[in-house]
Amino acid sequence: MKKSPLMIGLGILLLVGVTATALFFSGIFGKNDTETALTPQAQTERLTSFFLLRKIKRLRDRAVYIQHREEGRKLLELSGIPLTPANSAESSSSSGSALPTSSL
Amino acid sequence: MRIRLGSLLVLCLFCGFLSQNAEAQSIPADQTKILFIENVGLPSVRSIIRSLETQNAPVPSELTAIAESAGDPDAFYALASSYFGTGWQERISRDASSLMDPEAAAMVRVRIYLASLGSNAERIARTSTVDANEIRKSAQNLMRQSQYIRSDDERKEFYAAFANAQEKIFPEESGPDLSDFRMEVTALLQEIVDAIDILVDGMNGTSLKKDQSALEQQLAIITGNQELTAWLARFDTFAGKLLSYATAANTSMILADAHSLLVQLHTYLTQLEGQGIDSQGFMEESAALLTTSAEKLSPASFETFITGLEDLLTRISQQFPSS
Repeated sequence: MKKSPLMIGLGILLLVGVTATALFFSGIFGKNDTETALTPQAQTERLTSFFLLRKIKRLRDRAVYIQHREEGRKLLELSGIPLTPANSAESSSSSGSALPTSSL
Repeated sequence: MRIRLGSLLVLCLFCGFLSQNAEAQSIPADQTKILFIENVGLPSVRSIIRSLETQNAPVPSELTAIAESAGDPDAFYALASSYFGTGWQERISRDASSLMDPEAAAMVRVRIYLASLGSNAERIARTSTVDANEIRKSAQNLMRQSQYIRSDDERKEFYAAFANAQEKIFPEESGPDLSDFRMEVTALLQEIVDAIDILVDGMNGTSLKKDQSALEQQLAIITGNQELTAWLARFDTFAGKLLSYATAANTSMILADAHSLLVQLHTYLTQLEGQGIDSQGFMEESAALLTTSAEKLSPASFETFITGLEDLLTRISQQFPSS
């Protein structure tokens, strides 16, 4: 029996569809499988990275706080407005001033 | 057939005309932005940057980013508007044209500082006792006040308000100073040595350890803000390199990992208690966290849980240094 081009086309489409669906589901379930089968070492790596990133971010936030405080003091000092004794002691100890660089 | 072809051709021509027309209409808006950036925006930002450099003042990264985005008008507008707020076009051109006068240049430096204070309010509020909204409001009010200074009295009034806000946001008696920061960094750099061992193998690990050691040495010479900024730039490069080895994870993955860790930790502490060794309350604490880790957590509860876990692990490692 001679098959029409339309039938052949539909057959190819069906094949492609089935393969794509199979790949899609194998991708999803495969990912879940690897997640549940994660080794303790991989889990430690993931937690280490997570905590490290948190600490680095916190440290950068502290740096932003210190940098703004120092620059604010410097600006007040340059304005010629009389400073409190504590302020002037701190300001004279810093040689320059700077604002934050980009965050992580 | 000819009629069909003819109609198709007409249709194509009509579509082409429409798309060209739409393009022609979209040009003026972009063109206005490009012209503004080329003639006013970019030269103004560059003049402000040059002025800050001449004053040996800091150049906020946001300002450099605005200048660098000049090739992309939309990005330039978005960055400038989020950094300087509404009316930024007028403000930067006015500031740039006043830079020849030293007093005005100093005031532009103050305004750049206030813009930076406002845009970093969230981060500063994590250390300050003042919340982010109040910091932002304070920076905006001062910014507004700075634009209406006409007399010496008004200038004094402005600086008094500025000093007040500074004292509130960065109180003298609390908040970390450079020596606290140095101690904190030293502790983190020590932890990083362990992290390198966990995350990186071979030559890359050795190279990172060398960088870590150099950062530790350079930390000792930080005495002011300029050295701190230079050190932070090196630290950022190092952190970026180290974190490129990090494993990406979402909240549920971290919660699952934390749960496994707590199961092991709690089992170990229970065994210690069973052998008659006092776990100093850590067993009960780990049990409480273990229960939480099995629950479905909101973002806020997740943050509380993680902070609790981090704190517990830090205290355990301080109490039992070899663990």
